[in-house]
This record gives sequence, structure tokens and C-alpha cells, in this order.
Amino acid sequence: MAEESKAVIVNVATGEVTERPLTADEIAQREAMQAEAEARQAEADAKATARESALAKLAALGLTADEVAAL
Amino acid sequence: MAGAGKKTFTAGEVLTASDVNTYLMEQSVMYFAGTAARSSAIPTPTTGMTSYIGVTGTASIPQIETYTGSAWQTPYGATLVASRSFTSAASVAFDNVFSANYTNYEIFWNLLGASAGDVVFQWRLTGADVATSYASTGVVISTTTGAVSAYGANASTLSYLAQVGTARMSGSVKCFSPFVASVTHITTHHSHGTNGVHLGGSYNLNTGALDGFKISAGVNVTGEIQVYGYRKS
Repeated sequence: MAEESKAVIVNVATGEVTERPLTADEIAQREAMQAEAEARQAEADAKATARESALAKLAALGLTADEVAAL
Repeated sequence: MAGAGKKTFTAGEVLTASDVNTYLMEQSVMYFAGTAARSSAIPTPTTGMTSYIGVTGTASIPQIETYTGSAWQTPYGATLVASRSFTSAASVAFDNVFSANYTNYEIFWNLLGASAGDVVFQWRLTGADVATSYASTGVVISTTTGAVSAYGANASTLSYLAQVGTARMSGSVKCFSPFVASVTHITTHHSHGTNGVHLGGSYNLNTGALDGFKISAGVNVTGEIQVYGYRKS
């Protein structure tokens, strides 16, 4: 069973702390945020993979590491 | 009244009620459970009176305050105004944390994610999220390659803060005059754990006197947050 997600609210004026389950809207926002983060991470991973591939191809063409770094 | 200074009593001298009140009572550090109790006990404070305000709730921070002649103020320098640790939380909000007592604030956070996920920042106003009109930008610098990736977002619902993971992440947010009814800015930075360092900033177009903030995560997080206030006078 998935762990319940909770919101913690601290009222600094009174010192009261409230913990409650997320509302449906908050859950939807959270899922959208997480999906966006995962998509961004996938894009970054793909870029890193492409960069490694490009570097390997340049090395195969005979470029030294210093020459690749100078590009 | 406070400000009488010091008096050296001599042997056999009569200790008057006035001396007790002036040199002892009004120049001591007086303890009160809250500011209301202090106002009741000292309706007309005088400059230099000092009091200790105790804990009034589970999240209260005790404060030492001195009367300046016009207001009770904490000492100069950073003052801890809120602190909270939490476990497995989706979001942590602090309400009534920004006030006219301080000009600028700094938020320090330490978080551990249940898995990888984004952490974002939103202002709060009278107990509700401010979920429009953010513009933010920043860079993430890789610790392994030094590569810099930049991001930017306009007219968004939040300000990006960090990406947490299962290793502990730490960072801070500087809040510039949040309680001034105007466009409000933050700068933020954090160590991205094994990934790198993040430097960013944002502004929000809400012109209310923002009195709180919320940090939310795409995954449940465990950690702690402290808020410090800075006065300019």
C-alpha cells in the first residue's frame, strides 16, 4: 500500500503544527510536478548519453582528448 | 524605569521600594509566556527593558527582546524565528513567519527524499498558497563534468528549488522583504547531492504582504527547515 502523503503546516504566530492528508488538487499538482521532473531527467540523461556517444566517435576519428576538449 | 543604570548599595542603607523597582525589577530580564502577557504586565514599557518570551506552542521559538522606545525587538543579527523537523511529508508550510519585525529572511533546509524528485517553493498569503506569477531561472553545475545546464520559466505556478534524492540534500533560500507589499524576490542555492550545485533565483508578482511559504516535493521527504530573520534597524 502506498504511503499516505501529508501536508505539514506550521503556524509560527501560535506555535501550532497541523498535519493533514493532501487534498485531491494537491495530489494532482504533485503528480504533474513529478512527471515533469521525470521528463526533464530523462531529457538530461539522453543528452548525456548523446554526448558520450559523440565523444567516442570523435575519439574513433583520431582526435585526442585535448583536441576534443578544445572544440 | 529602565535606564537608571547601576547603584552600589552601602551597608545599612535603606532599600526603598523605588530602588527595588528601578534598579532591580525594571532592569532585570523578565519572563513572560507570550507577548500578550507582557503587554498586560507592562502596558507602558521604557527604553532598555528586556524580556524573555517563552514557548507558547509546539513550534514556538523563545526570544529575548529589548524595548527600543518604540517597539520590542530582538538583538541585531540573525534571529531564529521558526524551526521544524518532519518525516515523510509531501509539503511543509510556515504561516505567519514573515512580519514587520524583520526585513529579510533566510531559510535553511535539509531534506532526504524517498526517491528522486523535485522540490519547489511557493509563497503563502494569509494561509493560502500563492500559485501564480512566478518567474525563475538558474543553473545546475555538474560535480562530475562541470557541465552547466540552465533553466528558466515565466508565469509559472511555483519556483524551482532543488532535486532531492535518497542522499541528504542541503540548501538555503534568501527572501528579500517578503512582508513588503511589492514584487518579491528570492535567491536560492543548494548542493545537489551527488549531481552538482544549483544556483537560482525568482520573483513573484503578487503585491501582497507575504507572510508565509511552502516547500513541496514530488516525493515524500524527511528533514528539517529553519527560518532566520534579519532586521535593518
